[in-house]
Amino acid sequence: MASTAPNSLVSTHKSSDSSPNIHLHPLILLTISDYITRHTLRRYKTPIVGALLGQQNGRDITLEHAFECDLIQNNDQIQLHETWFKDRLQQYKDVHLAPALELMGWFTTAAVTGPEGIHVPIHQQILQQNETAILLAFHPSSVLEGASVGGKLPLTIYESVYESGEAGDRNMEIDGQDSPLDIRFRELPYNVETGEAEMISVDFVARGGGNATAVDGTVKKNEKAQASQKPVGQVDERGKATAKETKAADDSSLLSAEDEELIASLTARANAVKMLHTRIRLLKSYLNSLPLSYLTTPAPPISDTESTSAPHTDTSTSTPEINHPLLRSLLALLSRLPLLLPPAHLSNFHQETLAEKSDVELVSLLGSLGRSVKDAREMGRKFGVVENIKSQGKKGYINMGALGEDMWGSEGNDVGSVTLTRGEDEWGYE
Amino acid sequence: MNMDTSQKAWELENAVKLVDPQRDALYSYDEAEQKSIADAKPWKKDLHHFKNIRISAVALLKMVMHARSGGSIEVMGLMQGKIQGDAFIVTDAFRLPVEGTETRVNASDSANEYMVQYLQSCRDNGRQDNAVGWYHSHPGYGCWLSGIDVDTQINQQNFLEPFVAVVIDPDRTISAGKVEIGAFRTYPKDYTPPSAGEGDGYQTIPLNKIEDFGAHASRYYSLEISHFKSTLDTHLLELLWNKYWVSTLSQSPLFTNREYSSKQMLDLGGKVRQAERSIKAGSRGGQHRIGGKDTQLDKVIRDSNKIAGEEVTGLLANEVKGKLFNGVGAGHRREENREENREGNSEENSTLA
Repeated sequence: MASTAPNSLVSTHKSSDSSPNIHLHPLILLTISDYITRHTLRRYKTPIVGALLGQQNGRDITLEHAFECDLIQNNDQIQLHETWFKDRLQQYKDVHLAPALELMGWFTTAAVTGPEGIHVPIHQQILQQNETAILLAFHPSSVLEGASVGGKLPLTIYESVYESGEAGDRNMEIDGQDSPLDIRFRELPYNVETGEAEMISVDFVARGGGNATAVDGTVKKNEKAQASQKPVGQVDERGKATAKETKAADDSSLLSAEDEELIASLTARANAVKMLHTRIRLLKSYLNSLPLSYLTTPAPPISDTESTSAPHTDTSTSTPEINHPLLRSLLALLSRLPLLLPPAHLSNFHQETLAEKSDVELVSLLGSLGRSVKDAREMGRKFGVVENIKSQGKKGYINMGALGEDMWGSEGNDVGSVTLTRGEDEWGYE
Repeated sequence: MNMDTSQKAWELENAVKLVDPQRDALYSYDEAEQKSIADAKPWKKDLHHFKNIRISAVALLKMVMHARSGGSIEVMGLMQGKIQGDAFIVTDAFRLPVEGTETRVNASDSANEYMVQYLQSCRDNGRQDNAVGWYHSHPGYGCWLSGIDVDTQINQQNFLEPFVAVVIDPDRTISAGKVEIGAFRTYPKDYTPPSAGEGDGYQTIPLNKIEDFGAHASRYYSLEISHFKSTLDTHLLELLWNKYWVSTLSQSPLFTNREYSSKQMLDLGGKVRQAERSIKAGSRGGQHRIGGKDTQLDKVIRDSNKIAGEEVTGLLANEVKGKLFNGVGAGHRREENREENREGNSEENSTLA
């Protein structure tokens, strides 16, 4: 990414093929965000610095966990508290055994232009632990400016490389200056990776409404009802007791928990489909805006083809420049599409889907069968109760009529047999 | 190096602007206030003092991931936070070096030592939050406290008050697609709670655990859980959604959770048999009407409804996927054939370009 202001510490070279692939987990982001928020509200003045833990497998680096670090001021340099850091790192390693996590780098806040001289001492310290340590720079300013429109996260990941210092030795405060090579930071591409459980909890957190407003002391906090779980209840700054009651009322509202779950999952999917749709539309409008292919249109000058392969705009000024890698990957995607469901496996796939579907239908049939059984039983019970009362009422009536002792007895027996048959009837339902 | 430039390089000023002191107030920490609460001990007077627990996004994420990483083994960790009114505010969580088995987890001495060291280094770093609770996982059998858990929690409440127990079920989290979590406080040993009945918080308990569940269910009560996130979290999560919507579409919960759902079905089968037996016995003796309701059958039906619900959710996920993508390849194939007939190798030509 070309920075507007020249930054002597950022390498101008593109990341090479030997650079690691970074897989960033959302937990890191939330840790940093949590750190910044807490830091600010508790009015700490120290810089925001933390360590990144992850796994390295060949050129793949995952960043999975992060923790914040203690800093000390040392000869005008801000450094990690060495012993504290070692202890802390060990503590984290002790509990992340399977899979074992190692120190992979560190994070801090920095301007979009890249790391500055003051970041170097800490990086040197980290390098002692891991030679290929990377730096994750979080850019608060780009969050403020809302610059991250295209779904780009407000952060950059750098690896450090040693290059011969051609750009003047202005960074006199960097230690290790005696070495002929200067440390430079080179931007790395990254992607966001989530585990399944991680994704669900991120989703859960993202959808649930609750913000972190704290009203004084004992009053119940203003808590938005979670959209996914209690759509009816608007619990707003009421007493604790009422809040509880509302919740109870919500639970017994029209929809069952299963239905709520189903709705929640369908909403998530609907959102994803919408997203897919917008993405496809974006690609389509991009393709539409491209100039006509010079293969199908009659007379394209040959020099034009050459100029387009170089990354600057070609003759037509209104159209965007042709992004060949993008077009190539589009084509690759399109030609892969038929392979999504190869004809050879089509019947197998259909069979499998059908089997799965019938399994599910069977289960839900079982569910509704259960419900019917329950209802039938309930019905039988009520019937029995009514019948009982009826017969007892008859009994009472007869009794009041002051009839003979033996009549009463025979009547009683009769009633008994009736209830018994009713009881069996009831079983017939099931 | 003066303060101004260093502040600028660290972007601290901008970082400050990211935080809304009103909305993010839960992240602050007032040591004096916490101390006065700890001295006042309102929970001594009222056994039901704590009614809520609010978990921060980062703590929730850490706990769920930890629980999931354990697989079928129970794992355990501690939560840091503070007290506010009748609520626990959990700001962070950390793991403990404890190896549980499939049915229990218990902190050993080494874990206690680890805990003390960890909290100390937190304090060294200017982080005052106390340990306010512990969490552990119940892979596949729901969120409740077993006998051992109850004893552990009673101990903790005696010595480390205020303290809360949180249970997470990672397996059900995956199958239900939402976080299955429960928070509990125990009653003192000599206290018998007013029988509240089993009104809320119904859940499925496997057969082999049900005895343990029933034996101790009256010794604790559950807290209402909510979670909170900061304004910055919200912003980042919105950005993240741009990244992970793909996996929402592509996952197939039925397939990944096949083992779990087979287990559920097996369990349901057992329960149905049991219910049937007891109903038969009841009908012979005329006993089953005494309670007014046959709760056992009720539970079985609720279980089966739950499973059915989960399965249907999974199936719909698959169908959405199928509707979206199964046609794509076929449509393209047809088009391609047509195009090939008409225009010959134009496609290949463009590949070369």
